[in-house]
Amino acid sequence: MATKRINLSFSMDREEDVKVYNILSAQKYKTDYVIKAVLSYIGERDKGLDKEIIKQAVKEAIAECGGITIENKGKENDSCIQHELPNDIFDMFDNL
Amino acid sequence: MENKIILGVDNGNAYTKSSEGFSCQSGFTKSDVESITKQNLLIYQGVYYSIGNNRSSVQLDKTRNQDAFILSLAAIADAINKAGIEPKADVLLGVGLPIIYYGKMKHKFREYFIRDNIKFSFNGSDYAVNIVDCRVYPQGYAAFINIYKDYKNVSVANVIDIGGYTTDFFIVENGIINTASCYSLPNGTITLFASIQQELLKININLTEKQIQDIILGKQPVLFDADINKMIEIKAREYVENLLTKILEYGFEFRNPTIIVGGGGMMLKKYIESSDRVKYIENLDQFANARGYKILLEQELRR
Repeated sequence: MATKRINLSFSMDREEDVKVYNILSAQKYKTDYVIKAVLSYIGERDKGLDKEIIKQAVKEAIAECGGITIENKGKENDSCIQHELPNDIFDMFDNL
Repeated sequence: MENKIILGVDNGNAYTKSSEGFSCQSGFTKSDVESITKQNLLIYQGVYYSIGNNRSSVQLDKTRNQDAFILSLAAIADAINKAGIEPKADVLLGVGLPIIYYGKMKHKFREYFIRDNIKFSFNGSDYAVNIVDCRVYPQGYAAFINIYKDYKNVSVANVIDIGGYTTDFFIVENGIINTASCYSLPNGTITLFASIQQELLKININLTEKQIQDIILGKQPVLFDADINKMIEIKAREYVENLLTKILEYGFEFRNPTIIVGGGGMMLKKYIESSDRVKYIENLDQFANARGYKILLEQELRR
């Protein structure tokens, strides 16, 4: 059975490197510890693999609630808040 | 459709501008065959339009042909891209007319734009839109709406909208138009360009409107004798002085604040500001009308 080795190096100038170095140094069975840690991390990260199914479910739920309208109003363009115009103006347009 | 675009489009005789910052010359080259470049190429109903590469002749009634509609499609495509949404959208359009034509033309102009199932391509991307509603507002006053809150307590202010073909002017009293004070003169910047071009042709020089505009703005894209630049400056100064004199003849008082609107106003800013006639000036940029149309449309939709 082939055994492969990976050498790691840690820069003691970096805080994160020091933390990991200290954790690994303290482990009695380092390989086993790293395998568990990496697989656990990958498993957590890829829990969103079914995101397409989740997206579809969310879309269906939104559609059932009447849908969401996307408007082209950025914050800078949301001029309604800044401009409260009196009805007189619109009445004037009708009379022009 | 789920996407909604609320957009102001200013269909000027010289430039088409949008509330989202789109601007192009109001004209295109029309062709039955595809051009080499897709840049600014709009394809609609099998016809190829190279947008903004020239200026069409002045049109008072823009509903007489498809030009304003075609140019507005380019502005819509630009707005859809800037909104970062799928290229399928319901569009609510705010547009404008000079105040003196407003009452007579507003319904016709509104109906001109409202159309369903518009499929077109612009800059290589396909779009499918419905213009579900269109509201028409008075030009110049829509620009003033941008600063309405600053003037709602000012008893009298002048608004002068220097456009490509016409210069429209009116008085606002506490932020509301005095409808008896609305005038329009056929003295837009196109007439200034024409008079400069005529003068230059006498010495066998043929400049485009854009070149003249750049010289007036101090950009000087072509190197000419200082005399020619000087002549253009003199013509621009005379134009401004004549325009202000004519406006005075209509009973306007330049001791009141004066708001200058429109691309022409931007171009001639230094001449207007250096005139002794006008005491207090506020300049609004060339997108002010389009932004005003959008503000008014948003407010009207919320009413």
